[in-house]
Amino acid sequence: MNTDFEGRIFEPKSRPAGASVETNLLRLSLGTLAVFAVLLGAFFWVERRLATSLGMNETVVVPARDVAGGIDEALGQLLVRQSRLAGASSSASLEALADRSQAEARLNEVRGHVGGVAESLRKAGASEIPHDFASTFDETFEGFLEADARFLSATQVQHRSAERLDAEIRSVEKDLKVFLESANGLSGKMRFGYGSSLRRLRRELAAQGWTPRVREALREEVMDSSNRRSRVVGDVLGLASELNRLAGKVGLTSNRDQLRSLVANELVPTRDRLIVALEELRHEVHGDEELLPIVDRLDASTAGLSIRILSKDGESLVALKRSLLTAQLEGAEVQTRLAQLAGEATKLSEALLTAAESESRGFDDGLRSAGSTTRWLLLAVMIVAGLGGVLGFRSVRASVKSLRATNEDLVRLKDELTELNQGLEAKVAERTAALDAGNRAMRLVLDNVEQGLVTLDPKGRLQTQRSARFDEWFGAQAEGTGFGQVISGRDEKAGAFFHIAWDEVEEGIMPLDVNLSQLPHRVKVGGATLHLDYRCISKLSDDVPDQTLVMVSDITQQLERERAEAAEREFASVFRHLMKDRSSFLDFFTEAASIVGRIEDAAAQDPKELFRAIHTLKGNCAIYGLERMAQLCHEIETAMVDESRGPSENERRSVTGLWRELSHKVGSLIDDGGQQRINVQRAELESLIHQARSGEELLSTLESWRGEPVGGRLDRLAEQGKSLARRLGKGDCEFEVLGGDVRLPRERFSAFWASLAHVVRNAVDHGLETPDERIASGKEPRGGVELRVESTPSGGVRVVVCDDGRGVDWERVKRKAESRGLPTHGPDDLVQALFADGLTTRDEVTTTSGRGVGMSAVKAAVSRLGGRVDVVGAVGEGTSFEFTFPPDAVADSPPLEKRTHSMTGSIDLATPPA
Amino acid sequence: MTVIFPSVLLALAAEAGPGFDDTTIRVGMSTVLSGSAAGLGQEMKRGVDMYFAVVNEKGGVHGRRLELTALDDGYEPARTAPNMRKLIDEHDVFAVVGNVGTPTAVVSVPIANEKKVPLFGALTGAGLLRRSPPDRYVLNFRASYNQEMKAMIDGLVDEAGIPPDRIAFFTQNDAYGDAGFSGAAKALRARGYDEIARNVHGRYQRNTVNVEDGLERILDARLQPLAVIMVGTYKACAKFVRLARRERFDAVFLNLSFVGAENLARELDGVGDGRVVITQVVPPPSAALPATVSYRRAAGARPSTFNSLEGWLAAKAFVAGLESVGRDLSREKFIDAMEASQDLDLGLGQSHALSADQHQVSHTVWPTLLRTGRWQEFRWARFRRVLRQRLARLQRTGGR
Repeated sequence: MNTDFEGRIFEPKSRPAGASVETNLLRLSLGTLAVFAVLLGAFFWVERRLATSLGMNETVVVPARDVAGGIDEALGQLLVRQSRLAGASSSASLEALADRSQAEARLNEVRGHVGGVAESLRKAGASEIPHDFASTFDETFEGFLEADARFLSATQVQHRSAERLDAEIRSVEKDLKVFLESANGLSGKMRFGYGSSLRRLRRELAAQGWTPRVREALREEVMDSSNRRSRVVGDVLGLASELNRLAGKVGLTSNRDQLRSLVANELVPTRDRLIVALEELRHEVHGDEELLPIVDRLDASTAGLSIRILSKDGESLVALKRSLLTAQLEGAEVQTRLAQLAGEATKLSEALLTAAESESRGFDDGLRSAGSTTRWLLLAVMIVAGLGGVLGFRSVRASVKSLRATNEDLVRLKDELTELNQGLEAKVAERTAALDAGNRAMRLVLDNVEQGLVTLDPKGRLQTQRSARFDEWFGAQAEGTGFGQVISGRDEKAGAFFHIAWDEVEEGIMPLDVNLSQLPHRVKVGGATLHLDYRCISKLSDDVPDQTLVMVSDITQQLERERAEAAEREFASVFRHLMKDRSSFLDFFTEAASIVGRIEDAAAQDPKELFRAIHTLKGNCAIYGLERMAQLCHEIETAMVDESRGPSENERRSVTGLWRELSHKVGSLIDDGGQQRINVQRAELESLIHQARSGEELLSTLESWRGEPVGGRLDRLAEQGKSLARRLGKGDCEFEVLGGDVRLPRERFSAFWASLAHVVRNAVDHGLETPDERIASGKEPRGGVELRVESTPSGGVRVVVCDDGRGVDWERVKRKAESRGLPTHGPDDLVQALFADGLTTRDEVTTTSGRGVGMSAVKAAVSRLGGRVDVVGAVGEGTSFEFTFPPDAVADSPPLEKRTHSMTGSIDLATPPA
Repeated sequence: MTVIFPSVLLALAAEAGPGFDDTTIRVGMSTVLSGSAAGLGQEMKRGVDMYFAVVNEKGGVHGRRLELTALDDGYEPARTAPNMRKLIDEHDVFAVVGNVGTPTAVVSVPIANEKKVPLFGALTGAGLLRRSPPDRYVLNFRASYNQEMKAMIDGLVDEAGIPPDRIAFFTQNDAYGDAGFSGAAKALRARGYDEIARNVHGRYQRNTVNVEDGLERILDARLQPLAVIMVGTYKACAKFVRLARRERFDAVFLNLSFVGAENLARELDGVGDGRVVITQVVPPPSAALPATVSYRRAAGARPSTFNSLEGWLAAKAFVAGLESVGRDLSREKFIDAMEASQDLDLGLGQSHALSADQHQVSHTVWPTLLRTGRWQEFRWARFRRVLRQRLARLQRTGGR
């Protein structure tokens, strides 16, 4: 522009000198004066304009931004501290976080200025700042600081209660351990006392004849209440370990209702039952000077434990847990309040910023308009001056020189203006930086929350903001990466799942909630399990989200806890079974251990054999409450069927691993030479006494005792069958048990008994109809099953499982057998087919039965013993499975020598067959 | 010089002092001087003190007196660690001699190795202190638990003629019991018997005397046992023997040396005479050996005990090592000298040899039998006749 001006002004124009120099000079001077005056006016006008704007900037806009920045900073500091408090792991780390003086100081500093800034903003015309801004601000921040303090104290209370609770749980556990130890000791003492009496009896029997004194002792000892005694001790042990489990559960409850229900429905009844059982025990040991003090100790210990677990004063387990839950609840409430106040505070700071922003915009506008006015004014003046110059003398250098000087002033003025302008821009930049500090505070929050937070765009891609945790779990990801792809990097299945599910979300055919719930919620990252929650923040349309917030939390520990609890539950159930019927549990356990051994040693095995083994293990574990093992076997079995293969190395290892864990735990309970006991029913002993009294030969009776009476086995099968029938909706079935006093060699037949459970299961599941079906076909509504053991004329034994159900559909068996290429010529072939591997007439597989594996296991067990299987029955008339064993399968080891008085076998009356 | 100086400082901070000066060799001990096992530690310490006093009276080892500092760890590993560090860092001991117990050794062994300070003659037979190859700084006096077990099994089977399946076990339900049982299993396996899992095995809870359940199991066994190997504390073992005898159960009851001979005898109070055995890793103090004679002379009127004799002998082996190094002493030279000992004579009627692969002075086990309230040496064959008779009777009456 300069050149332009100069060119116009200084280019000499040839003009004849017409008017007088003086006139011209005068005109020129006047013209110059006029121009000068105008310029001066313009200069002052611009300067004034600038000065007001700058003043405005200094007094209103800058402080407003300062204040807003200060608010955000202090707020950020407090929020970060709260987030750390919430995530603190111990009360020691809380101490370090308790100090908030820095944030408070910053806040107080800001507070001093709020009133003034608000006032000046309002004066400057910012309509969004209300009259009571300063007092609202004070109120909000007072509230916030107070809530913050409450949050700290609630967190401290939480930690203190949690730590005391932990200590209390540990010490209660320790006491319970001592309790269990002495109860176990008591049980050992009772068993020893009983054995001791029997031994004394035997000695006396051996030493002398049958004196009245011995007979008296015999009756006394044998009729002794030892049976009842050991049941009572078993109850005490079972209830104490139940109490132990429940005490642990107190620590795991997550709300007060749960706790209340736990106390009312489980803890108190268990404690009361324990007290009753102890009372019974006291009655049992009445008069025994060695045992009574132990019962006294157990009593005292129970009373103490009851107080420590249940009492209402501050230090009991339940009271501590209650105050912890209350503190947690309060903490959560305060947190909500804090979030609300933080929102309000942010709004206040935003209002200030917006007002400052608009003031600053007004100021910029002022500058811009001043600049352009000046420009136009200058242009006009130049034109006038130029015209004046054209009209004036070319020769009047002086006037020209003065004009030139004026022009130079003008240039300087322009420079100054530019400079001023630049200074202003720098100021604006500085303020913008102050604003960024506020943003950083938010970033700090994101960097410190325990959750992984990220937002997704409508295409399911990552947006910029996300928390540090997210990056920690999924690695730093570029903005715009598909979330599905991000998950795939860690967990391929979940990733693929996400892709499919997100398509649904995009299409929005189903309601949004439904679609979001379809997205994957579990992701495995390394050893950790993450839980994903999706929440729609803003929507494109009713069912299509615009922004979706993904909240990722680590639930590994929670899952771990749940698993531990499942293990405890399982242990308690094992304990119950063990206490209820020790000998059948031991049989089960021995058998299961040998099956696991077979599974472990799979290399040498036929896959079908292995499949049968896993199947049997599944069924038996389910009956005895080893739920985890049953579940694991079911999964493996399903995988084997689905992929038609043998069990993989990993699967076998998981079975043996879990078994080792179980048997380690269970082993501590059973640890028993179980196989070395003989079960004798009281009636049998009575009859032996009778025989002895009447001088009869005792030998054959004693010999027969070497076998195991099958009654217990049959009763157990019946019980299992009944509960299965109820589970399957077949109503209450009638089970009849016949021939329970027949004895069979225990070890030799144990595999057979285990597999016979399959037959009973089949009878109930496939054989029996539902009550409705039965009524329709004219039968009694209640199904019936008979379990019978009888001697055959040849001296062998026959075991019969007979139901009155729908019978075997031989046509169907035939078709199935044909489809598998098995021979089907006569009834025998069909019976064979019925027991063939994998043949099932069922079309679906359940955890109960239907794989056709069980039957082949039975066949294998029977043929190992040299026995035979017959199946009798037609459609509609029930089925009878008959297993016949030859005499030599049933015969026991060589007979005893004829020395009845040297009988030293143990007679375990503690656990008679149920 | 300016470069070397800091590194010298560092070296001083990391390693212990020399452990001796011109007039004194300092020796440390972290042991149990209080609580229920206090007897073990006090007796062991008495034996070491007695031997050191004898040496000091004769002018010490190459002109240096021996000075023992003993700290009480109450048989708690948690207290052993600070004791060991205190002994080495503050008291600047040359070696740690005669500690008691396996759990405490779990912490003292690594510290000895780290500080390169010899851990000598601890009262435990655990394998932990007998690694192969041995830890350079760990030296033992006594035979191991495995050796004791082997002596029991060999004596019972070979000399007393008991079939291996007639041996029962009664063990404490913890690591000590497990260690004993596995030692027996090893000894039995070595002689071709793999069925130890079928032998009757009763257990009892640690820190209790609830022995009835285990006893009942043994009394109830399919095959009546003729010997019971017990791995437990003296109170539980004594109660076991008392109850078993009351039940007229006739068997030999065997214990490891750790059970504490004097305590067991006192607790039994005459019960089980001629039936209770302890394998000892030192001879009976009453034996006629040069070592026991000089031990008894030093003990004077004070009672002679197995534990104090063990302390005496461990101290004697330790001093013999120091003697052979000479006046120019260091811990490394001491270890080298010990490893070079070829015929170390401690007056036990035998000579001992150590090497870099073998850090144990004595491998001998002395079986002792409780007779008329005293522990006496015996020969396993003395059980032969009575046990044979009993076995024959049992077999006659139906294989039980």
